[in-house]
Amino acid sequence: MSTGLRRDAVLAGAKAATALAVAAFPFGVVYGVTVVESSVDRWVGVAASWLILAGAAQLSLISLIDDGSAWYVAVLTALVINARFALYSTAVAPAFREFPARWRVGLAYLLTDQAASLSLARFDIDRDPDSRRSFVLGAGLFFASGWWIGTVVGVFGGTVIPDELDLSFAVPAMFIALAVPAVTDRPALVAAMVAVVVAVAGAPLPNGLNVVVAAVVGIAAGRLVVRPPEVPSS
Amino acid sequence: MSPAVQVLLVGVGTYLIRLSAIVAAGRLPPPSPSTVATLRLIAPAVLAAIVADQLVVSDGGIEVEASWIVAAVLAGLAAWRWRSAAITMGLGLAVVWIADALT
Repeated sequence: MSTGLRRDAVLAGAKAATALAVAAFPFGVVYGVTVVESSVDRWVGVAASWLILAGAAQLSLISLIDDGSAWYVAVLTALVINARFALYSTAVAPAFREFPARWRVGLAYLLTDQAASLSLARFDIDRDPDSRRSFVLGAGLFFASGWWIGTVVGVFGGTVIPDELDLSFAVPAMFIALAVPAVTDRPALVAAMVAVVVAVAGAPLPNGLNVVVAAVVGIAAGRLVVRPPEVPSS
Repeated sequence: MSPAVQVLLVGVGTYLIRLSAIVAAGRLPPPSPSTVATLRLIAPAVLAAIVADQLVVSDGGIEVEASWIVAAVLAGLAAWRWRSAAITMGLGLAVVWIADALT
């Protein structure tokens, strides 16, 4: 039975994801080094890159576990960070409806920020379901590969990085690289600014709760300036 | 609870979040504009909170390292201008390294 996979579209997805996969590699290395420097077992850290496949949440989880946070705080914080995937899920759902069921459940796993963005852009110019799912597969797998390879290199080769090469700023830099492009309009800017203020003001809160509280307050503040988007007439 | 179980829980939870609307799409009406507007704020709010936490919060207190703040501002401008993770990270790290070398 044919899978309906379109090789040209798989390759187009991989090509579109190339720059992002290259960028994911050093992120993965930083994450891997973070794992090694934490109390978390390296194999658990590697497994997280397969099971979770979301850098910000993984870093948060490892760091909260290492800080001795309560398990539910560590787990819930990571899931709050990943709540944004519900938006991507919503955005790609109409296109995914035309995919075979097995593909829907499989491709959902690869729905990173990057793969989702690339796929949504592709859906605008490509109406063929077989071609679309081939593209999602190529982009999703190729991007994830950068993260997986980076993780393994960071976990098992991280010590080859010379001591004088201070990579401690790489983690905040990575979050800056993710956060800034996420600020796409004024409500998002308000949400981000308020979240920054509350996160700092909430520094004394235990178990990394300042991040969760800051996010919730930031979202609420952003909602106050939101104008509901107009419903497309198509 | 062991770290492995926590990783597993987050993995399963994250997958279910990714799958949620894809599965629900056929059964539910499209999300209201109000819901979409809220979902759109999650990423900027959470990520900005993490940036602030990473930059200045340490062990329940506030610790400000001047070179990190300068690097963060420049990296932020680079991210805004070029939308490139590689440029953002590269510039931020370079600023910190230069600052360290000068002091």
